[in-house]
Amino acid sequence: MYFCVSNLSYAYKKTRVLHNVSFCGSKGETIGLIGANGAGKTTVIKNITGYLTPSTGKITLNGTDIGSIKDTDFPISYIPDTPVFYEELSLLEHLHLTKALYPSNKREIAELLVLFELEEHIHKIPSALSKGTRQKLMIAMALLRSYTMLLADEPFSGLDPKQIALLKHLFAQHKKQNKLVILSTHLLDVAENMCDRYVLLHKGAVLADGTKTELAEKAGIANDASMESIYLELVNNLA
Amino acid sequence: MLVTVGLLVYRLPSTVIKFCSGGPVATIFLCGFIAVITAFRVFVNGNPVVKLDAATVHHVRNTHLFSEILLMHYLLIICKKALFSFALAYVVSGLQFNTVFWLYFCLFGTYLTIADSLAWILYHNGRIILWVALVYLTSTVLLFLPSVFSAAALGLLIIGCLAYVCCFLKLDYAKYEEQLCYIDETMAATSRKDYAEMVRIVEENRPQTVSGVKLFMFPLRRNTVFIYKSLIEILRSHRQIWIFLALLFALGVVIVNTRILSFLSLGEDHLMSTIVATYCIVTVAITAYEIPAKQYRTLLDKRALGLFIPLSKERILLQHLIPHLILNGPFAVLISVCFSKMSIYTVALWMILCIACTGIVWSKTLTSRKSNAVRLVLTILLITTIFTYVELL
Repeated sequence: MYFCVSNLSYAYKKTRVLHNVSFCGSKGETIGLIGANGAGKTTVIKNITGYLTPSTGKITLNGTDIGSIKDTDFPISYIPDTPVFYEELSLLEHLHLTKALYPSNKREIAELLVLFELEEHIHKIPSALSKGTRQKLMIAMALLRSYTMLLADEPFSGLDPKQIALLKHLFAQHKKQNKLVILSTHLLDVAENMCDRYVLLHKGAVLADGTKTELAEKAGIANDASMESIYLELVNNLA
Repeated sequence: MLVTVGLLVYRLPSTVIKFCSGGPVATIFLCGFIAVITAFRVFVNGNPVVKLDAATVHHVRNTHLFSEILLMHYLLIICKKALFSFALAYVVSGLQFNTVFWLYFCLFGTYLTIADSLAWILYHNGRIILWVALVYLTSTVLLFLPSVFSAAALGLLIIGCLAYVCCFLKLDYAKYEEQLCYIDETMAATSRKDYAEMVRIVEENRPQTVSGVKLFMFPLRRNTVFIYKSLIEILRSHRQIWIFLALLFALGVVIVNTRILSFLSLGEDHLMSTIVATYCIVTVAITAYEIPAKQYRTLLDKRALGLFIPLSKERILLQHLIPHLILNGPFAVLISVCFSKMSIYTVALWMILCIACTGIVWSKTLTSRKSNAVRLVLTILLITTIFTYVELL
């Protein structure tokens, strides 16, 4: 497997947030990290990005411990749940800065501006942008990096239906480019049919891991049931 | 700083005795100081002279009551200026009510009132800045030529300004009301100690778009991008901080090169003047170095939060520092020129300033205790260096 999280546990001071979380992913796969608010999705992602250090467990990428990968070679791009910007730079300057840092990425800034309909905002600073526009800028910046794995934490937040469809299309393109996408969301209807596999998190532990069909079988309901029904059934079974 | 306070306390009794004996103050420095502060008030500080509640302006601006409220506030401002002028004139005359006192009372009173009128005019009508500048310059020249004629001329100028304000000036209500709302919101947030609200207000009132030099105008590469970003941050930082630092630096230079502190009976003590000047210049340097230090810390935080940067901390620090290290060169030259110390030692001064700047920025990556220790060492290094440079070399 290209990417593996093994027995990951994490505690904020004395409160244990993650309990032995394990899952793996291959290149070209899209994995849905699904769970209710507070299930531990963002904590898993922050452990992967290195913002948090696991209490126990291991995260490997291509067989190498993720903590030992140099900043210069870090092959992960990340769309955080809360957009982060340089407050003094304009939208266009953010894109140029990212492009300069990752010259090997051949994607053009002009193409992204058109794709995300950002042209009219290019000279605005982040605090002058709407929530949706800030999210689009964050996604555009993530796409300008050089990476083999994309982490997206609630990427649909603040986007209109047209932009959601566009983002789904972009994620589908990643599959063709043989890149791994880990998509964290609690919007099950949006994530449905987008992911090859789903990792269901519940109270900091993995409730189930598999394709939609496998999860439906585990839940004991029909294969054509919605992800929402499958998730609720699995949680109810646990209770 | 402790040495400065100690010496001031030691000198205070003799200063008071000198005042009581009626020793005159170096008025030219006092006038110069007033002229600089006034120029800042008229041309730089963008706040309205008359501050009312935003709600008052909104509800009564089309009524007769509004003129009366404005007039009352204006009279109150004139009274304040009169009191201030009274105190200044009393000091200038050596704590005596003599002809000099009444002359300076009239000069200061009319000058400060003219300045407020000009600030009020410029606030509402920025197009006549040349006329305002002309009146300001004329009144400043008259202030520096103390005579009955000057006082009379200033009196005529004040009548002219007040006539313009009353008869011709059209108030910019949109700007005025918006700014008063901002002041009201800020005051309310400050009184509640609501820092989140204060940050929100500041963010909302920042310019929403960037103008002038832009990052992508530079040849951006992976190894240079943060040099230009740092440069852009310097260009876009608040101008008030740079004005404050420039004034503080000028104060340090004036203290050493003139006898401005003579009225405190300190001018004769050259060592004391050098200590105060060192304190001013070190404060300027440390405050200026705090700007890149804070930006570097923010950069590292944002890098961890999701703005991945494919560079090591050291590379980012180096790129981030380059513009600041280069700017230390002109700063070292400025210190040398202002204190007539231009020599090969200027290079040494530049190098020590660079070490201090690098250390202060780098200390942001350390724990709080270690960071404070590093900064203390660097502050001592700066104080020793500047003092040695100004006094001994």
